[in-house]
Amino acid sequence: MSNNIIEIKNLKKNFGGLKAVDINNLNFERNKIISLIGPNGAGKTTFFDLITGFTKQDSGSTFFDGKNISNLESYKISRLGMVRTFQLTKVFDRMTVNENVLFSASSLKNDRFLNSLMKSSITSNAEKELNDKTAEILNLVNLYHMKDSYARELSGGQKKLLELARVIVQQPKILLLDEPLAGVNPKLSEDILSLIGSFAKQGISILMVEHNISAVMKVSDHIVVLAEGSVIAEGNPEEIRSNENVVTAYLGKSND
Amino acid sequence: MKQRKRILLGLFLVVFSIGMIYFLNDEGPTRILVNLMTFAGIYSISAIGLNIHFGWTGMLNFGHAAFMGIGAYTTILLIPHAAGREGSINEEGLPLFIAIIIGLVASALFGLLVGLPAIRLRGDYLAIVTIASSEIFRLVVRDQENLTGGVYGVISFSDIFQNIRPKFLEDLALNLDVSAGQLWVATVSWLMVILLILILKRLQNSPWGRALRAVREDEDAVRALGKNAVWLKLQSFMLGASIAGLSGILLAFNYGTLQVEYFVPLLTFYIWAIMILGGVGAISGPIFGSILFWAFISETDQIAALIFENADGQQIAGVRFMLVGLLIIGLMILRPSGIMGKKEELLLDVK
Repeated sequence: MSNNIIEIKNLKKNFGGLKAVDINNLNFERNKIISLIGPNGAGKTTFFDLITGFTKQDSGSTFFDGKNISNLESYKISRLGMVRTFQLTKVFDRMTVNENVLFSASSLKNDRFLNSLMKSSITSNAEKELNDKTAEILNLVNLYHMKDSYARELSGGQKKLLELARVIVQQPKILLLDEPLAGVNPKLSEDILSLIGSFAKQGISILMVEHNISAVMKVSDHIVVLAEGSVIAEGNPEEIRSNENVVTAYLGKSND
Repeated sequence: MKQRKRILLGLFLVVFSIGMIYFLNDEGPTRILVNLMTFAGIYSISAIGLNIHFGWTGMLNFGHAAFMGIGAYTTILLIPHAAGREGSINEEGLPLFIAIIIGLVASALFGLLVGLPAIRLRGDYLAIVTIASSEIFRLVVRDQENLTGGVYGVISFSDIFQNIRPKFLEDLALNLDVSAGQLWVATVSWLMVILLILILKRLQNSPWGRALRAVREDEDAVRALGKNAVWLKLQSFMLGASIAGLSGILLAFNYGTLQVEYFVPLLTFYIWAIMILGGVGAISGPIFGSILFWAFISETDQIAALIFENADGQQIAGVRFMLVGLLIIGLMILRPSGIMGKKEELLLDVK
């Protein structure tokens, strides 16, 4: 088994005449916290959409865990163990917090129409086990006291936590987080970062897009910088900090 | 509002509207009541199906009449019947029970047929496609006279259904001075309503029902978590369609004839009105919604006659729609979540 969890070759996507993503060669190592940074409009979210199957790529190939997932449907990619969150949180507003996590944790077999109709003892036992599991996860993200509230009653930061709970309950191989700290207060940011760190310790690879550079520098093992759809730099935080291309991409070129 | 309070409110409204029928009709209120309850039962079933589409899964289906029609036509044309202008009786046919099963499957398959190309559409786009497909169904049925009887409709099919009517219903009908045939349709309809409610109670909080609600809330998140949203929507579409088919079959047996004009878009909007009145997403909502709706419809004639002296039938029919509209507006202002709906799960803000 290769040491790379994701390998990308010649990934291209254009929107009309706009080149959104154009990446020649990019690999992500296993069991690392990797951050994807870049100015607004650099193609970070499009890149997420492409590798998770939410947007069709124009050309190129993506390998996940050695398997070619280019052009695979999004839900199938997710089933392989690559699960994502969204920039704007997408919790199920009119379901309870617990149901949000239960839905995610429930197996495909458990979800089947006939099993639900027959309500076999296997299903109800499975539901009991699921409830134990979701209780544990909700305790972990400190939302257990809200478990019977509707998700739309949560604050913005709590919704981010719920989204984390919902993805982590699936024990994915890699977690793709789209701006997990956006709009979150500093205290909660700390909590979310330490949660992300603990997921990584459990052997889950993390790939995140984040604008909070100081947080990124603190937790990341590896940083990839995107600008105008292409990789302009990658390396550990120290290397990125001193990279001139990165400074130029963020702040513009100085005139002298 | 707690569940008990909601049920009390629903019961109060039902008792009140039935009381109004006795108050406003000196002659034959029982007959009016049985007629009303028959339609209420049949429309409840249909609204239960629509509730799965919209209340549970969030799909705007405006072609519900076609699902009812497919079930009705499939079943009726498979049992002994007489179709078209000539009206010669076709004595051969399948046993009733098997024909009904095939009718329900046909409705589900029609749901799949409409759903496959349309299900990826969201919100109002799905609404446009479903209303168009329901009109296509109606026009095709009207056109294919050889098979469906076209504008002349189908007649002489009720015997096979009425022959299995239990004896005690006839005595009861004689006592109440109502039609035994209609009483039988009403009985079967309400038994079906109870059966469906029991089944749906089971499904609503099951993993499958939970998955449908998740689709309603956010399809992208469902896909991101590894669940096949398209398949869930198709399943929901098929289940709701076949429940609608059942109601179409009962509608045909209630009228005793089958006319394509039953399945105009207005029928779809009646079912929507019932679902909204009862409370979108609430399992028992359609029951209260349909009784209230039909009581109101049958009372509007008298109310209209009170307001306008010497109004003729056509004018009263016009006033009826205005009053139904007022009822819905009033209810939406006072109780936007309907009689049985939960305020927290109010669904009328479609994405």
